[in-house]
Amino acid sequence: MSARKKLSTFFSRYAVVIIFVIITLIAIPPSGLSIKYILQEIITRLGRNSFLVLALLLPIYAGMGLNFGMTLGAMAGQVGLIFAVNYGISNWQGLVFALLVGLPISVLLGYVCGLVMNRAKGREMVTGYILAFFINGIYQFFVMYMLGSVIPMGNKSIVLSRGYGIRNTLNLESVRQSLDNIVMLRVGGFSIPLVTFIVIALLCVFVVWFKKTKLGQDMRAVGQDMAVAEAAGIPVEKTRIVAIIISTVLACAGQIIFLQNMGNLATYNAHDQTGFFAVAAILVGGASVTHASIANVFLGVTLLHAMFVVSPLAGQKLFGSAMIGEYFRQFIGYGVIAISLVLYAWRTRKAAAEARLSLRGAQNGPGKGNGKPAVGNGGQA
Amino acid sequence: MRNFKTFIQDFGWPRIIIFFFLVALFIMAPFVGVRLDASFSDVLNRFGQNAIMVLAMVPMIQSGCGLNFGLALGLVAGLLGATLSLQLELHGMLGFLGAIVLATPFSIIFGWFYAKLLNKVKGEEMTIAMYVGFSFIMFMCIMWLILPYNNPTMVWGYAGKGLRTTISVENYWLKILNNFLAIKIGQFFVFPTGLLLFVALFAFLMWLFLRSKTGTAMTAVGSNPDFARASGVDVDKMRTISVIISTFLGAVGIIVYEQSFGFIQLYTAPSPMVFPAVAAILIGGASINKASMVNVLVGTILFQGLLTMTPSVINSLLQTDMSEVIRIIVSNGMILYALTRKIKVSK
Amino acid sequence: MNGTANAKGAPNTKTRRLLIRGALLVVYVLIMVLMIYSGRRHTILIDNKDAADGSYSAINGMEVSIDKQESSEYYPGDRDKAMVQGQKHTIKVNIFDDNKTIEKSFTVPLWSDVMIISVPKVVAGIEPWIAPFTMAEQIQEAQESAPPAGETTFQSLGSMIPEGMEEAQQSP
Repeated sequence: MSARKKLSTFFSRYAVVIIFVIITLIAIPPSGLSIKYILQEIITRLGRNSFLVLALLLPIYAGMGLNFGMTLGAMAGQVGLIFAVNYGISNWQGLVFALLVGLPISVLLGYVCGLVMNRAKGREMVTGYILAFFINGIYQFFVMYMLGSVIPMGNKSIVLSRGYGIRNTLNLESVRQSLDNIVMLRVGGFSIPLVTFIVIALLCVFVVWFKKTKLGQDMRAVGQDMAVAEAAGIPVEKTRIVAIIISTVLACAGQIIFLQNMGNLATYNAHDQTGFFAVAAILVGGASVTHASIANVFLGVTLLHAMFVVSPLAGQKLFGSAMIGEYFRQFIGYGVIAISLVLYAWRTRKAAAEARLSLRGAQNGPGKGNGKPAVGNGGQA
Repeated sequence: MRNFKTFIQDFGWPRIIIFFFLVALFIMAPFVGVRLDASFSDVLNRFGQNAIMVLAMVPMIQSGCGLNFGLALGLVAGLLGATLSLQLELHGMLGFLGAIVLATPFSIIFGWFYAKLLNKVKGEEMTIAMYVGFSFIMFMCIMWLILPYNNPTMVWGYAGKGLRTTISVENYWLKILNNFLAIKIGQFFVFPTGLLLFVALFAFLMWLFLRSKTGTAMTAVGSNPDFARASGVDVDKMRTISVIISTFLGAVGIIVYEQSFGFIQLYTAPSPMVFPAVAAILIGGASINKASMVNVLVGTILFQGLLTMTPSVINSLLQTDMSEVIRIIVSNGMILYALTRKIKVSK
Repeated sequence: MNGTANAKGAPNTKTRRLLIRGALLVVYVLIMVLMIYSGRRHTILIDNKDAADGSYSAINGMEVSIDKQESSEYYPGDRDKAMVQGQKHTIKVNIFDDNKTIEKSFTVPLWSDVMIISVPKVVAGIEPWIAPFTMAEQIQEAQESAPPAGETTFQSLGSMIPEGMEEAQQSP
């Protein structure tokens, strides 16, 4: 490995991170926002989004790629919140109640998602994405037609005037920022929602611990190579289902944390972008389809949201239209996912080709410097 | 009996259920006060509107690139052609054909780059295509705002720049195909001859193409790339051709759609148009690696029939608009079904 | 929760596993019930009006607080609301005229959303001074005396903040 090659691998691995840092740094001065404001925004958004993004980790370990199916969990969380508001349960108790309602739903949905993905091995991502759309249809049906008619809703003020179905926007005033406000640390002019961060830290500890358990080890093995894992006696399909169930449950909790911070729930489309933002964040943080760490999550949320804070205003100043900034950040979000997926697919193919070549090289000239020819051949391939 | 069973298996339960559901809707229609002739006319019209976009799925499925979730690139090329045709003040048939001609270079360029990308990521095409499509739509959103269009029917009145979200083609080429040789029977039934002829023409050309030397080579690449490579077919080139054709058909498809619909819809409008096209061909019996003209025909009729009939019939029946929910569940359920079906690998 | 189906599991371990699962389920439901009891929110209307039949009359001026919430001043004809969480609460009334302080505790039924406390009744010792307040009464009262609409509406209409993923309303 020459230094140059190392450098180029470094750049190709962290290309997305580097591009993001540059774009954001360029956009800060024209946005006219103070560093302090941006930092406070990032702290708030770290508390709001990190949990959701952490939910993506386990399926990546299990080799199932980016779990676009996490939206299922988000929907379960929203159903929980609807019931919490309906029964008038406020404060953090409302959140716990919402979680308890959402938990069995998300376990069930996660199980279904796992089953479906097991039938579509190698296409988990696109399948998860479509599954999220499909379940969205069922969610709409449930919330728009079942609630208030089949399942009675006591709180008439959240029901549409026609008598059934939930209003388009649900005011979560009774649970608004109830987790954040349990202990709000104020340090040097910054407000830090301590309990939210403790919850996130606990989840990180759980992830680290889980990776060391038997199940966690099995998951890594399945992620490495399903055939080998199967041969070693690991129940591959079951392990994959468990990974997805845990991810879905975490997404359920994550969406509840997200929404308590937002303070209101767009009943029919709050979950639309959940998967997109979470996936974009973890990829911006330098994760790939097969490798991700907790550090990627926090780096990603920080970078992505720094840009989200800055770009509309920067767009307004630079182009005279806030819409441009708005479109730009969506473009960047989708673009980042596309680029990361492309880089990943491209790297896998290159690695496979290199492995083939180095194998051939080793057979042809043993003893000779096998680093150099491999590089040469790599260039030709 | 055995024959029947394999037929069902090949055709798939979801399609049969959808078929009978649609038949039931048509039978019920007169009883709930929905006019059958108007419904038939509507279904035919919508079939014509959407068929070419569904047809655009065929080449990429055949060449093994999977479902073209990146159809948006073609749609955007079509939008560019349509807006340029309006900018150049082309009216009537000239305007419509002009839009297609103007869209062609864009679709070839977009398709070529898109194909280059997809060739680098074999096996991951669908997810990547989806996100490439989304990000390209977002990129074009910015472009629609800053491109120097200045036809007053297209740009925002007060700013004098930036295209409107919907642009009417009423004074240009509204229903130019629909009204061509259209046969009117009674008050409610119109047979859009021109539109259907146009669709038939493209379907026939595609059918011819798939039977040409290039077409068969392309199918070979899709069904068994290793074998195709061994017999001297340039796999990447075949895939590139299929992607370019698909993108071009996407462009033509959206222009045909616009002339019938009456409006050019810009900005984020193309993104929700991709999934219905994907769902339609799958409902027609295609799998993610095999599709035919029959699949396009059956699929588009079934899917558009469902979209036309559910709002009217279900609404009059239940007094609520459940069509949106049904649309979401059916179209995505269908894609899901295709993705999870065990593919018969011909190795 | 879903332990592996163990073939060698003796009936003893099987029943124990079943028991543990049952216990977990009970705990689950228990937490849920606990959350309902402790988290249920009620609106308390604090009313300072004359009785229709003249059996008691409004207090001339007082300060009322519920639990440890900030107190507010009431004059005849006033009505305000307080939000409380849980069922057991205290009301503290401080009458300006004779600087007398009355403190009483009360219980709100679990599923009642709005309760009305008539402070003159509390002071006069007329039971019951707390009663459930229904929508119908509210509308009737609104027609009779037209109280300020903003204070006694309980609709959770969507707030006016623009919707969207990123436009969060930031707390101060």
